Amino acid sequence: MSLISFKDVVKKYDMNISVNHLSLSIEEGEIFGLLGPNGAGKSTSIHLLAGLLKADSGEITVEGISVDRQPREVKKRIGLVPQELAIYESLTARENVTFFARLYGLRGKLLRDRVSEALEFVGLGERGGNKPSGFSGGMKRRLNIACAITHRPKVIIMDEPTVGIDPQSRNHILESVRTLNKLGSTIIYTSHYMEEVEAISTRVGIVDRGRLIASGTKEELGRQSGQKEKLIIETDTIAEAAIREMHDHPRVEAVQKLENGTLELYLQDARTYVQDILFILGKHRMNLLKLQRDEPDLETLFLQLTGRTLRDGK
Amino acid sequence: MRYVWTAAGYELLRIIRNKMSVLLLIGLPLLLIFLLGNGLDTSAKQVRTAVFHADQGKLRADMENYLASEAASSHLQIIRAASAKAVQEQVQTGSADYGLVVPEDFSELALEGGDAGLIYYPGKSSIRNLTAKAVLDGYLNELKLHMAVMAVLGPDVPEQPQSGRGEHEGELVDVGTSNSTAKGDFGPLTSLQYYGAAYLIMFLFFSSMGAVFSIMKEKEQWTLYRLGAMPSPLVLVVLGKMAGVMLFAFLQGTIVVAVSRLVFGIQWGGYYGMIALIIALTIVAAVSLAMIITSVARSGKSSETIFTLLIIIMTFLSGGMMPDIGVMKAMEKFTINYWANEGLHFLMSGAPRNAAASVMVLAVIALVCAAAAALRMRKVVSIHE
Repeated sequence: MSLISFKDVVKKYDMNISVNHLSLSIEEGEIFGLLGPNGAGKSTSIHLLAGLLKADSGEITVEGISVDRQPREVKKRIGLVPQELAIYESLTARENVTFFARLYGLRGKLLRDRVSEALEFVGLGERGGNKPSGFSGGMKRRLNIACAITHRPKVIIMDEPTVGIDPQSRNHILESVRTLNKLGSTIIYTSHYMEEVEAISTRVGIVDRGRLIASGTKEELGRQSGQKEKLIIETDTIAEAAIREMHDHPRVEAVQKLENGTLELYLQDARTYVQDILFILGKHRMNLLKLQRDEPDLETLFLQLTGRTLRDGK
Repeated sequence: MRYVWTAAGYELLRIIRNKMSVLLLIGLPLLLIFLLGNGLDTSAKQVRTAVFHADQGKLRADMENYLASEAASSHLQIIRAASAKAVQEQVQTGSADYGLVVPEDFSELALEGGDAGLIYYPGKSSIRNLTAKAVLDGYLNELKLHMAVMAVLGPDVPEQPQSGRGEHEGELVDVGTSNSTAKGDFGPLTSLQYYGAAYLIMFLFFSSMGAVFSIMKEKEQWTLYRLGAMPSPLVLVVLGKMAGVMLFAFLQGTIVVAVSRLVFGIQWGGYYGMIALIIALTIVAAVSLAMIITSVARSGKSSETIFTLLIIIMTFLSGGMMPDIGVMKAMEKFTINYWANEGLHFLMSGAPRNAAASVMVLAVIALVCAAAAALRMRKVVSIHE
């Protein structure tokens, strides 16, 4: 039995379908990266799992317990790290963690031990008596995590936990995610930073327009998407007619013109069809400066599967 | 219940940490009570009153005795003037705060049962004008009372009203002292008592509204979202947070009453259980009203603005800013402040039975508001609104 299961879940806001017959399984011990552009239904799915929203139909379970029927039991098993900094600026770091830990039902010595443990874990052990108003963005993010882990949840949902922080804090958080996973928590991790998801996730689910359009390991996703590769082309000039012609090529999925004048082409079996591309360049008198072939990464896979880039949702 | 106490305790801690807000909510009402109430009391003892006494009749001596009595001299500093014109000039130039002319026919009119009156020249300070008028009206009231008794009982009654002397000395116009029973603009109360009650209630409203607006703020800052994802029932946590603010409001009320009693000498009447009940009911009514307004307002900010305006309007209509608000006085009974103030006024005057009636009305208002607020609470607390 999967630890987390979404079965044909639907959630509508008025006439808009936010989650559209979503089915998904997450196994115990996974770090599951959830990817999707803004408005894809990713946050709604998380809210449904955390018991903050009720599904219109379908069923979500955690350890076989229904979120709809026994929300309190499910919530005891979940630690939610919201995208926003959900902490109190007027309380010290220790008071923040203690307050939320008390609401998870911890008391007495266990409470004190777990609070200290959580603060140590995120590297704020010595700053427990300080108020977050004096913290850097990264430290606040870490405190945001500490508030969600004192009850040692089976499932930790991390919604964009590294937004707007310095690389050092980001590394600290990513390392914390791995450690929490090793300690037995299953992690659901959403991020706009594809490389983060790629680096820490054991499995990735791609959500678009409320549906799960693909899920699996990076290799599995590559296979699902038809192994589309990326050709990076640098030329002395760029002719719009050439770009249009590349678009029209039956094997080319997408052409992107970057700001620095570089072209990125997504196509199946680039080895075979690179000659066609070079022919188009020659025809439009574009002299080749650089040619590079990339295996599909998550960014590429995402674009191929959704036709949109992750960050801007286009 | 432990979730409620946890939330209440931390909310109280958060409020107390905000020193500026604590200072404003406790310090400001005390300051206003001191300035308005005590300011009037002080000026009552220092009103420089220019007097031209033209009456040479039988009541001249009585009037002079009254002006020299402790009841009058403790509030009025008499400056003699040579004529009515001189009185007027002294007031105009500011060398006197108030002017009094006793007309030539004052005794004659008064003893005949006619409409004997004093001529007043008010100065620039409305507070000093009120004080001087209250003191001098006190004499007129006593005189009229005496004449009425004489008309009924006949000439056996002493001819002169004995103003300002005897066992009732000081009772009629003891403006500004705690045991006053003067029938001035503040009724049987002193200005300190009057403003003490008014500003206690007004600031209870201000602190109570925080119970609802802090929830709105938590929504904006996503902490409510996090609380919603916890196994503790969100409604209990929210009620706990509201209880924390209400507890602070109650503490604020207690401190205002205690400090004003000990430092300013305000007599609250001694019925502290009833005072606590009025404070508690006012807080419940205020929180409920804030909840109702927030549930229909477009945003947290707009509901805060509406509620603040409402507090000021209700305080004004209930006479909390000035006792006499003219024709608008008819609307005072439609304010929550009125019933709370009236209850406190009765307690201050030593009339707990009368206060009970006001408290009953206040309780009904609080109950109705609380029921309506309970129906609207889901909309305010909802995370996805």
